[in-house]
Amino acid sequence: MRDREVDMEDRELIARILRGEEVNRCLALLMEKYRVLLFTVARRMLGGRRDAEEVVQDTWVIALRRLPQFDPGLGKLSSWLCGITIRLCLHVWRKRKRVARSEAAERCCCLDSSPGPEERHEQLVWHERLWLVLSGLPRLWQALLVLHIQECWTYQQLAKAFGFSERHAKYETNRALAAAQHRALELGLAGWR
Amino acid sequence: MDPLEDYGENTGEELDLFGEFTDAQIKGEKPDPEEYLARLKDGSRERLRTMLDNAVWFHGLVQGFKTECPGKSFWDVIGIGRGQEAESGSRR
Repeated sequence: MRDREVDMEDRELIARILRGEEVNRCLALLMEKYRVLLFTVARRMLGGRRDAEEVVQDTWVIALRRLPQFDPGLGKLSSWLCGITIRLCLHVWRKRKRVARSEAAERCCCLDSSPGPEERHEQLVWHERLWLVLSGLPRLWQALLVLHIQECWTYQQLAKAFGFSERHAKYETNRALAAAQHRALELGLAGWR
Repeated sequence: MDPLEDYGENTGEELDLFGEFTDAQIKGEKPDPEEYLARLKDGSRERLRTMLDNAVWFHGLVQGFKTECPGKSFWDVIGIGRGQEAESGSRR
């Protein structure tokens, strides 16, 4: 199978890097192989090209440092790399949010268009409840739900980004939804819409 | 069997119908779960019903969130102001 060939090739390159054999060449091959995939994920999540390129670079720095911990028996290299990219993108989001908050505070908090106390409270309730439901899920499932349902990525796009088959993307998305529903039931939020 | 092709209790047909259903949801259509259930045999129908119910429930949450919190994103919900657990966690 093509997937298995890819896995074997990745494993061989990783093994050589870890043994210190032709590290630069092997790393360059991996970087070239996953360059488009990681950039696509980062660009989709961040919008800007420059931020996306920086995230991809950081992905490789982290990946190289953590390479000894990568276990091919538990998943593909592409999924592992995408996981790092997604976490880094979330980190960029946090930074952007902090800057936006700080700028908003500077602009003064009394703009007519800003939500009133009741609206603000309602938004916080939604935010908090959603966070309660989603925070207990693994990052992969969080990302799948957000990318598919909010960002409207098709299963084909998800499959490509995460390095698995389309049917596997559907399977993981279904598991994510089931886990979210289960968690909502546990928290007494299942009837909440 | 290749572990990547092992879908637990689900069949490929169930997953494909589930995928078709949620794809229709994200396109802004209002797919009718009964139409999808009718395309399956009895044994699979209840499993698919649960899957579609979950999808309908979550889609409702997303729509509610978008209405109540215009301009906000789910990325904010899962990523913002929640400490460093996301960075410090490993992939599993």
